[in-house]
Amino acid sequence: MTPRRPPRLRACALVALLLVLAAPGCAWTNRDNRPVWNAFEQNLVPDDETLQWVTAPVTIPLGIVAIVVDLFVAHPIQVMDDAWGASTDGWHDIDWQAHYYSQTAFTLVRIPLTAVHLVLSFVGRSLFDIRPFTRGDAARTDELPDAPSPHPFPPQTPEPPGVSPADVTHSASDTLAWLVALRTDAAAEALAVDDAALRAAWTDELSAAASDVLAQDDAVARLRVRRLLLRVAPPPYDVDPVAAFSDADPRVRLALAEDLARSPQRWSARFTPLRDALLADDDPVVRRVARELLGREGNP
Amino acid sequence: MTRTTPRPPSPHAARGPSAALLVALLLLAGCAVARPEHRHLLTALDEYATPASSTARWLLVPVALPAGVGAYVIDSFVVNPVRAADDAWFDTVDLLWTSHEESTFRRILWVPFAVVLTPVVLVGDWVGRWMAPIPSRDAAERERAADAEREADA
Repeated sequence: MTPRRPPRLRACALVALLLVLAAPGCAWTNRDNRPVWNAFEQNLVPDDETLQWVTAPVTIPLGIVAIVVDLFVAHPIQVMDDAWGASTDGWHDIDWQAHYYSQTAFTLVRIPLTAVHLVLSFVGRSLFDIRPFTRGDAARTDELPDAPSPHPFPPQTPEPPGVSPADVTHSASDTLAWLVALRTDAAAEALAVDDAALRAAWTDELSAAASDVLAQDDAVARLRVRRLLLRVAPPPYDVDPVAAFSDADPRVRLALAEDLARSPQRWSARFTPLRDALLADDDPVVRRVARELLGREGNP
Repeated sequence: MTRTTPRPPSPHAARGPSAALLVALLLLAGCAVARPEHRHLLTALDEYATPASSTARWLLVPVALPAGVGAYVIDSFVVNPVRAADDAWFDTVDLLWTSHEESTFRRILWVPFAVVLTPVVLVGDWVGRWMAPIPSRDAAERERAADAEREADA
């Protein structure tokens, strides 16, 4: 006969079980994480309030079943590919050509770490409302309101949410005035505009004004404009970041490397060429700082 | 009242601490080779023995895997300790045997302490430089020069 567990242990096990059962409720708070409930609510629950009361004896147990299925079957299935993508994300950035033997040997460690990450990611995503994984920060930043768009202001496209036409006009005119001021005064007052509004308002005239400043000898003025471009990423500067941020002065490149390291978009695929350029910079100091801040060699 | 005779210590019990020490040593040595500048043999392999085509790289995996692991081990337990030895020696000489404008009397007075401390500092410094990702004296010197150059430019 197996010995009975002490009551305290049983209480702890009960609390743990309740917590495990309750945790998926966090995920369920997001409408996207309850596909079965959504389908049930849309198709089986009548619109008419009287009918809702009449059918309640059937719909309530069915609804509870839908919730349980969402919590323990549908949502875990939903997050499988996210967990897989998140845990294998690091494998995509391996430079096999440059670090073939190092990375091949590290594979022995990487495989068990990936397995652990996969399990933790799957459990975490099943229990909690975690944003779906998208490969690379470029895709992730697309979800943000200030994400750069390849065609930010085609005439037929409505303004981004939260940006009024007045904001757009002010952003363009303020930025133009600021760029003009920078031509003569590198210490011109800081520009205060909304990045999303400025991106939406970007014009060829602004590009030309920015190019004028970038052609100047004053490194401070160039740095200020390049910082703006890095932050706002307006067209055409979102196309070729290397060209946009290549500066003759290593101090400017150094400052931009530090800025990029602080940016949430630093691992974005869009900035991969820029990161590579900074990592292979001619200047040893820029190269070293870039490797410390933007290199992944030490953190594979 | 019955007295229980103490059980003789298990022969495996003594192995526990030494195994833990070995694991700690391996982990610590791995800490140093996490930095590319401490992976001399591996970096040389990466640089000079990597096939250009991806097909060749795939075909070479059965060789590259043991070679890479072997290079990690050699870097950790041969190359790094050997390379750390001279830096540890010069650190010790700098710290204990180099006069920093003291009088002759003070230096004579310090000699017995320096003699006693030399093996301690030397071994401690050597183990630290071997295990931890500490830049070599040359690299540290280059970094200082670069910083000075940067400050002068600024």
